[in-house]
Amino acid sequence: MWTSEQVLSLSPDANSAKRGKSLATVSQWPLLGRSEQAVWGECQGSGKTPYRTQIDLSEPAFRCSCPSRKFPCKHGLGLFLLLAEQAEALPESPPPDWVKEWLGQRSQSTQRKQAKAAPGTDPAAQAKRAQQRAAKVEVGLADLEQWLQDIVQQGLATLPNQPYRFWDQAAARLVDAQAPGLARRVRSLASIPHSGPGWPERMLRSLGLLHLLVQGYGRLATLPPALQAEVRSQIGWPQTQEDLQLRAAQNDPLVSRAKDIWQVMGKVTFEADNLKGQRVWLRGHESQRSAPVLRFAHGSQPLDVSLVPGTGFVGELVFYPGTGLPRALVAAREVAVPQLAHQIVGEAIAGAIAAYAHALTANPWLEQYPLMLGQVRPVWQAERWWLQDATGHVLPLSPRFQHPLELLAISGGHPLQVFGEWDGAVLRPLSILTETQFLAMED
Amino acid sequence: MDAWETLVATALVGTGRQTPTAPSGEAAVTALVDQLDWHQPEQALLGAAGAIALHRQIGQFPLQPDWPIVEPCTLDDLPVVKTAIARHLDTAMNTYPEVLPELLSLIAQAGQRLPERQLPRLLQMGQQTSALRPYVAAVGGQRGQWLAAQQTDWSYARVGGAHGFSLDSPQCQDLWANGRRSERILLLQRWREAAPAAARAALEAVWTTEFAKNREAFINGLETNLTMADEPFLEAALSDRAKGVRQATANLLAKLPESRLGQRMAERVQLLVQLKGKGKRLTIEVTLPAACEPAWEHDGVNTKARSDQGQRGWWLEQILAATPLDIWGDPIAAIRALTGHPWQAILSSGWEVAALYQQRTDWAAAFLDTLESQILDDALIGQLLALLPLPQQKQWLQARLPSRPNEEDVIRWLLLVVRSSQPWDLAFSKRVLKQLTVAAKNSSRQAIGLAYETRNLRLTLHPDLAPAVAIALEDVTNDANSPRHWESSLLDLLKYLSFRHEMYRAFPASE
Repeated sequence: MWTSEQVLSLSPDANSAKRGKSLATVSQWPLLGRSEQAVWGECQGSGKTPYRTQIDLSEPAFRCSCPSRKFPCKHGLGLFLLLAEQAEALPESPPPDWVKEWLGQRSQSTQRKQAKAAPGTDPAAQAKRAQQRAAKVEVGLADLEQWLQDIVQQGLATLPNQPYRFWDQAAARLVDAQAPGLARRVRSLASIPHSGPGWPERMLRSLGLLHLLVQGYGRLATLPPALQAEVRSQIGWPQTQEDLQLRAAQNDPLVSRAKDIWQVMGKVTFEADNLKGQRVWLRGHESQRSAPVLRFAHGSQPLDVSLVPGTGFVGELVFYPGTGLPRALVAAREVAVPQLAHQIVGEAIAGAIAAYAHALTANPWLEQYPLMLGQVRPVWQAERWWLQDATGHVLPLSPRFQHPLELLAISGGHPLQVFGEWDGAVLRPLSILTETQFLAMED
Repeated sequence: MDAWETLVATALVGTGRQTPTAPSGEAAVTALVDQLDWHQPEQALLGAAGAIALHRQIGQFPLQPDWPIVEPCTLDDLPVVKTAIARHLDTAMNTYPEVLPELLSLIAQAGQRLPERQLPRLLQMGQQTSALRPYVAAVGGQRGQWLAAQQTDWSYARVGGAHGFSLDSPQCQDLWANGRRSERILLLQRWREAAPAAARAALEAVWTTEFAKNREAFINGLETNLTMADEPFLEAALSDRAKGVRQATANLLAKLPESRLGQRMAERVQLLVQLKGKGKRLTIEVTLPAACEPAWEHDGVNTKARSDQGQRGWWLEQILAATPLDIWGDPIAAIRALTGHPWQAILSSGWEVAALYQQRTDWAAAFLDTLESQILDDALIGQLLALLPLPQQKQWLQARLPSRPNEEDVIRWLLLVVRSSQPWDLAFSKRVLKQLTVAAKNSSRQAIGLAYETRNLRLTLHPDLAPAVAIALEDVTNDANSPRHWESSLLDLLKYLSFRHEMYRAFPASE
């Protein structure tokens, strides 16, 4: 039911995956067991008492008595791998008390969560906060526009000599102005002057798009409602899940919802300003619609692991207001569907890029776009890796993609289905679909 | 310059130095930029940049280059190992790389191959560690060979495994004619295993056109399945231009007692060493050579001795090492006569090397039975011991099992076991463990060294010993007198044995 690939895609980092793999041997688990809902085990660590590890399979959710701050920890991964690979080693048995207790707590807290769905906020206070925020953003944007104009006035040629402080301070001012979306874009400019040939073009493009965003915000009232929402979201206007669900419940025309069999296609984790982020790509089986689900966690807090690449679920997504490729929230998961990948048929490169262009027309600030490519082969040409499809079209792979040789080994020169993120210049593969397997590409 | 290039050029120098004008180009672009107010140059430039960049991005089409298509790999391949074995392989690569040869051999024996995804990393490890290469090449299947052909650093694996190995295949012929040295060495080795005479004939055919470094490597490759049929070729190679080739050839010929080189050595030695008398009255008369003759040098005798050796003794030792042992008659009588002999060191080293070269079980046994306590070099004892068939080794070691838990005896015995490096059966492994437990209750300096050397046992003791080691470990942990380093040595041993234990369990057919 679960595959090793799926389990390993839950790993918080490469090191945990490695350690989890070494713990996936029966001899290190004096106690192992499973029921319909959960698996559990005791793992002999370096201390006297073994660690108690348990997994609630309905999501999945993990718990372990070890002191590790990783989530899931290596014991959780090891236990899960044992289930995926040697299920016969885990005897079916009634759960011990420590497992029962935890499962009980979990179902209670789920109910509590559902109960508190409707927030009782004070509309007047909310409106006041929004007003204050709008004032701050306005000042921040005027400041940013001046900064942009100063750069083109002095010439891009001066930029390679600017210290990181130059970018960081501009970004920090935008954080203070409560425009974190713009702050992130400004900070990401810092590396462009050192990114090799063609950097002035890339820089001018990014500056131009930032300028369009500032202009767009300036005449927000004249834009169509969906684009208004997109501009606000790009600037970093907060959108809480509760608010979104409330709007969905009130049938807000900007908030769409979609029921489907959702397949988890791939996952990317990233770090930004003390935040760990994760972008999970979902794809609707009926609608063929793609949806990014973004989640963030502060500091040592664990990231959500309930969306496992290669699995799927029947359920409903609610989409944030916006254009192009709105991000989604998983509103309801009804039935888990373990493996759907084999029924997916990817498209040719030209078609996929046309769809990207279409989305870009609707949202000029789109950064990542999901491509589900069919019949592509990895090719090494002109000192880099590419994917080439049956018609001979090619897309370059990201130089940061770690596993081009694995891709080559899996293909053996035969066409594959590859899912990945396209940023307008390079493709980052996230998973491979062979005739029999869904292979997630770990970071 | 098109509209975009003009904009980039202006932006690069700055609007402070160059006033931008509305760029012209396609109708769509012109329509956009004409709406901008070019009296505010910075703002207009940024606006035009955003619009044109977006327009370009939307209109971008993927390239359609005319690249040659790589011939795909055949899909008719060996079966892939099951997931549990793939996981063990991962664990071995990460944590127990020493176990890889054993694991890869098990996979090869089962006639299976590695999952595609693990190939790159394993091929990489083989690239870094040449000893691992034959094992890796044997389990890659067609996919491994195909992949190796795509990546020049991995070309060694193009040779493939014993499965489906065909000498006449165009692939092998091409590899032998055009491959890199590492590929050809591996190919020659496989070839010698399958058809020794054909392999030698192939080597003879190209011999004169090869570089000295290749010739030397290839001569060493003939050691696999070496027989008298190789002798004429080797005898000729003794006159090679390169010293390395001559030396390697002489070493091989010394392993063939019936070779002409062996006969020449026998003639030489009879003038220098004579055995007089019989049985217990046997005595040995030795005359050291006065000079190293050119003919000796031609046969591989090295003139220069190590600084701590006498030259004349060194020449004799080398001649003895290359002389057929049969001329000395009964090994037990000969070795007994060595004790107390003024040239004992030279005679015994010469004969020991000869016994190893000529794979003489009787001489090895005679050395071990008669002279064991005087052979100081433990490694040499290990090598001599390894010459004996496994049951005989076990017998020999069991006969020397310490009768009492006397520390010194136990340690000496364990060192012999450690050095003999054989895969031991479960019964014998249990005996070894018992002695280990005795040594573990010991804190002498010698025992500390031994604790370190038990590393070698991780791969030679029977994997089913793991549960017994776990009990022994508990015992040692609870014993306050046991030094800590033993605890960690036993824990390490346990980890390896447990891993090997599970690894073997993943291969149901093999026993």
